Amino acid sequence: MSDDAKNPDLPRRSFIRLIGKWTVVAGALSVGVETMKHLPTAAASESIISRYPPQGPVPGYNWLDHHWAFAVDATRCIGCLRCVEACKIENDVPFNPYNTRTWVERYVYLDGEKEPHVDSIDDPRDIAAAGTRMNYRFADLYEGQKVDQAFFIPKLCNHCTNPTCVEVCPTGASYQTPDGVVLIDKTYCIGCRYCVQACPYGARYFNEQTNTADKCTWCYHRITKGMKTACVEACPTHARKIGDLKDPNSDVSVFIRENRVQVLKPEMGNQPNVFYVGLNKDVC
Amino acid sequence: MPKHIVRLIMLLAAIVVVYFVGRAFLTPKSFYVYGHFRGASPREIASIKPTFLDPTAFKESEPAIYATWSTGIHKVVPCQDCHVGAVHEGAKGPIPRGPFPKSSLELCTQCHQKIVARPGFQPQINVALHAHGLQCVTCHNPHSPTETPFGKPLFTTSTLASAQGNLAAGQKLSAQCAACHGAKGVSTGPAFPNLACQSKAYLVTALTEFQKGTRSNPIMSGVAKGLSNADKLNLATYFSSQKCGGK
Ligand code: HEC
Ligand code: HEC
Ligand code: HEC
Ligand code: HEC
Repeated sequence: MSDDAKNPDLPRRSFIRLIGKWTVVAGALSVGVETMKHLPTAAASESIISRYPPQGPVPGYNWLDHHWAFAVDATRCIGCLRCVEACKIENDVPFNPYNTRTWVERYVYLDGEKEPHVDSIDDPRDIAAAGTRMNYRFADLYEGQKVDQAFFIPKLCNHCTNPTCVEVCPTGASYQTPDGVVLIDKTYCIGCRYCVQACPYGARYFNEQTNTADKCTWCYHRITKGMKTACVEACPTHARKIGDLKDPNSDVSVFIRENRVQVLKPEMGNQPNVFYVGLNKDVC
Repeated sequence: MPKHIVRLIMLLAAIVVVYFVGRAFLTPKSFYVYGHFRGASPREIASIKPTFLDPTAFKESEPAIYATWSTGIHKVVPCQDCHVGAVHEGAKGPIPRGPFPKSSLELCTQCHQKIVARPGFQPQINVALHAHGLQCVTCHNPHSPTETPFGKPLFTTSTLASAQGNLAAGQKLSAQCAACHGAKGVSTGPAFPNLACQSKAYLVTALTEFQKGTRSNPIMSGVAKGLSNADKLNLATYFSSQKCGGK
């Protein structure tokens, strides 16, 4: 005869067993809660504070003092593509015409046509003219044709104030720093390519060598050391400028003050931080 | 409470515990310090070593070239615009000895070939007409292209190109050249280059080079030998004023 039979409502043994089980559950839960409580305490511990101060984790650089922005004077661009090559070398971007952190587009309006012809270094005709995929140039297309208007437009990541790429990133690998730069943590990127799709400017590409998304960092390793980005350094005509909006005398602050600047696709609401002179309605 | 419900609750509790413990161990310490990202990541990105250097970085290692470059018209073109690509050919050290691409016909034309969309302020040439397949560095010092590779002025915009020769005198002299180059500078055969509409300074330089022997051709060296400086300028003035293709 079992206890259950004697007292079917709540026999002593079952009661004790139940209490025992719940004690285990409660204990485990409290361990979990305790670990959770420990997280912020660990972050607040002395070593974390000194390694991750509010001024940012980069030694010798205070990201609260800066707000970076970029400017492009498209009327000065001669389409020499030195910026593309300098960027690829500086940032280990694969040497092929399809993956670029910065690139230049050529817009050509032929006589009597309304739509522009647009080509860039990944155009088969331009690849053929360069002869090798290690070297880039704009081919002498449109020779002998009547051209109404033609110009070059350098492009790069806009480091938007409202970055869509960061919004869609499922892991926290894409993020925005307080100094206005959008970066990718390659150790955290799972290569899902949502961000590549999400960018309205096509500024991101998928790097087959690292299996992560990749894009322009405004040479974060240079600007945090007081240097200019590689593409700005390479440009022989000063078509590109990088500068700090918190410094009223920086190249970009002056450029924005002295010119009527535009941004690409303002209607998207991303609030880009690359400011252009020399766009027209078809450039997007 | 029925047994299967208790088991279910225990299972759920175990999952919650595993989640929190796993999360505590797997989330990097610096995550959430600044936001929804790893706080160490900006430091890692910022610690990459810059490779594209300011030209002043080569002031000490290449003093002579730096001096020529910094006083010439190419001082707006940083060293590594022409030299950095060589890194990809396995070169060591800050400045590779040679430029990349190796052929200056490919290098200089990246910026100077006349193509649609290149703005007018940039000096541009029709490569075939201007260089005739010769390397640009045979006539131009790449580090100061208004000089020859030997340091002599190749042209100053004020002297050669703008000096006025005597058109009539040039036309008279050109009779000597007509057999090969044509009376109006449109040549009589593929072996002879056209002279019509060629730039004046180019023609003067070419004739001077034939005279000096820096460019050699059995026929032209002989022809050029007898020409004075004034003759060269007059001939160049005449041929450069002729219409391309004689039309
Ligand atoms: C416009 C392109 C260009 C720029 C800018 C340029 N170089 Fe050069 N450099 C060349 C070319 C082309 C040659 C090869 C010359 C030749 O073959 O005669 C060369 C050759 C050299 C050499 C080898 C010379 C020798 O005698 O062996 C050195 C060293 C050099 N450059 C250093 C520099 C430095 C330093 C700078 C910047 C201050 C610089 N270059 C800027 C195009 C360039
Ligand atoms: C990265 C682009 C770039 C490359 C490569 C380059 N140049 Fe230049 N070059 C320029 C610019 C820009 C100027 C105009 C400077 C100015 O107007 O102040 C210039 C000026 C010149 C001029 C003077 C033109 C004039 O009318 O005064 C000559 C000649 C010249 N370059 C020849 C060459 C030769 C030869 C090479 C190859 C060894 C070469 N360039 C390679 C950008 C370049
Ligand atoms: C045979 C000698 C010679 C060769 C080879 C040569 N040049 Fe020149 N180049 C000259 C002379 C002389 C001038 C100055 C007169 C003139 O305007 O043509 C000149 C002028 C120029 C100018 C200035 C033109 C302008 O309108 O302001 C540029 C740019 C130039 N050269 C680039 C090049 C490039 C690029 C190459 C190689 C593809 C090259 N040159 C090859 C002799 C040469
Ligand atoms: C017997 C034929 C002949 C006669 C006469 C002749 N030339 Fe030439 N000329 C040539 C040939 C062949 C070349 C090509 C040389 C070379 O490319 O090495 C040449 C090249 C040239 C060039 C260089 C053109 C370039 O595109 O680089 C000039 C300038 C020139 N001749 C001027 C003259 C003048 C001026 C006269 C008259 C005073 C003259 N020539 C008479 C055969 C002739």
